Amino acid sequence: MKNKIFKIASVLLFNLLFCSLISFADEDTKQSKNKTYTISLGYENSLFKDVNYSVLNQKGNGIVLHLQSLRKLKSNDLFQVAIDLPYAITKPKNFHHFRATQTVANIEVAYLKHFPTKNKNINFYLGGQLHSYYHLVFFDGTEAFTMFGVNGLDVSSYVEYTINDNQSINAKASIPVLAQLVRPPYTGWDKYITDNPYNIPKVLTRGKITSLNKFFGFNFDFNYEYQYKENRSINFNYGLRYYTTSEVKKSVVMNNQFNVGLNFKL
Amino acid sequence: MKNTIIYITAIFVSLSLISCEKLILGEDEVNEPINNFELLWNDFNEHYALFEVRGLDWNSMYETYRPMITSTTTDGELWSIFTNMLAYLDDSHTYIYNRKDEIAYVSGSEDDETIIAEFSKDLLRDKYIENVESFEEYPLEFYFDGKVKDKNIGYMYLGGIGFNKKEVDEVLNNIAAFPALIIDLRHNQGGDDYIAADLANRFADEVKLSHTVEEKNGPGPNDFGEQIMYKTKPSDRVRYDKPIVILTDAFTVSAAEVFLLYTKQITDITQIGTYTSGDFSDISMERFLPNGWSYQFSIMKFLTPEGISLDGLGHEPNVFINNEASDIENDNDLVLEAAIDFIFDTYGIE
Repeated sequence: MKNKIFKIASVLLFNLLFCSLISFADEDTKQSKNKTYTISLGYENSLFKDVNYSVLNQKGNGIVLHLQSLRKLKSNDLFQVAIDLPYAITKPKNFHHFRATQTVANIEVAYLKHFPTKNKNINFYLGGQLHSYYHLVFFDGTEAFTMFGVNGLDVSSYVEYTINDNQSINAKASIPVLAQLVRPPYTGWDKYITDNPYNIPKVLTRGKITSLNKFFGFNFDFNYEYQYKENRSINFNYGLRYYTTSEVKKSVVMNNQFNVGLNFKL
Repeated sequence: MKNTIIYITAIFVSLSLISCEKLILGEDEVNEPINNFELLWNDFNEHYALFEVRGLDWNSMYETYRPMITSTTTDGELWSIFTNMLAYLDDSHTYIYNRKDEIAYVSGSEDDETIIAEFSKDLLRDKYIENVESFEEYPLEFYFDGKVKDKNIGYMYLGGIGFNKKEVDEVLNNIAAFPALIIDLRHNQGGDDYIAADLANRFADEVKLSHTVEEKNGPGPNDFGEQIMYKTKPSDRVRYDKPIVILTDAFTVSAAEVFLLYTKQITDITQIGTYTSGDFSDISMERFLPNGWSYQFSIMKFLTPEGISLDGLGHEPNVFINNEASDIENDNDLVLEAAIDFIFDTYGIE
């Protein structure tokens, strides 16, 4: 009963927060000073070991598409929506025939409050974000499968440093504090999955609300931006997603992403 | 500008270094015969669901085979030990593969050649069934329907359980006019349980508990989740409510046996043939060993409404009859003939 109340309260909190974020962002962006849209493509390198899937260490390589919208509000606060969609082939070290496909979906909706610093070239932000991260692995169709899903609330910090008129760097770090953790059952498959084969959202959102005692996550993004036109810049990005849990069985996932893309400033 | 690029490169290189595999994932499993044995034995010990219902002592496999393995055990010797251990389970939902060399072993497959010789789909189509129809997307070996020659009895052969609802509608419309139906599940390889449920519900006359499922949810021998209940429920799509005979053999397995769990609760359905395979469980995901082999096994137990497991036993037919290989060689399918006789004797339909 206690767990149920906690679950309902958490869902309500998420909804409330999400609605507040969206309405606040909509209201403020009407008078926004700055909007930046980013599209970039890159290389994904991943490491994972999920004992529920395989006792073998797995390494993956693939591509990643990164999309982002960043709005500087009237208050100088930031509203950011970012999506990473990496796709990779992953396998244990020596076995080509254990190749599996790995799909990751990383979606972040962040609100970051501006905290001025003494140095006018440095801006510091602190806030929170709604964050969904899914790491899905399929071997030979669905002969083997695993997932590490987190839908929750992160604490985020963001720093930007203006090097000169054309160049700047920024970094963002986030740690989840409360989330719905989605893991496969003890047996990998169960009747819940095989009886709902076409109800993917139902399968992907079966999890329990939990806090940092059950899992740990860390997200980091570093960007270098070179402005070559008034409203356009080139962007180099490094992204790191790290998640680990012992729920069901020990699982560690780390995605490294290197992207190059364009920023459009409106 | 030059300095900036150097700094950025240094940061990127530093970040890349933290992806050191050992640091993040820990030591990888060693590809060594004893470790491969331990991993496989332990995985079965913690996840296989049917030791108790099949009356198996998995520890005896450890005591017998572990002492035989040393660091110099060859792949051939290890394969032989593993297949012996899996043969002990006698569970056709348990396999081991060497995908690299394309070799596989299925537990309980020792009698397969005999069972194969006791059934012929060609004989059915040549001698017994007419007006044969099938779906374009399915091979004739997998599915066909028609009528029994010179009889007013519909016939449906199912080599698997894998149709969509529209196709089931079409089939039932094809055979709707017949006052009796034979559903042939011999050599049925199974498929999806939810499709088995949909098919059975086309014949259901009331809501009734058909079976329960308990899934392994922990490493202990008695770690199972809550019972999940499955029921027959009359379908709101095309239905057939006339007498049905279902033919079975020892290759009627998995979802085909789940279909029978449902139909056992429906009146006017009779099973003729031999015991089914007795392998009900969903199969685990494929599991991987450090030597490149992989395996799968049963992860849940199915129980009748009375709480009895038919795993390892199979469904007992209402009328037991078996073809010998010689019957098939002489162009006689005694099981189908018994079904035709049963329909005439019981319902006066011919």
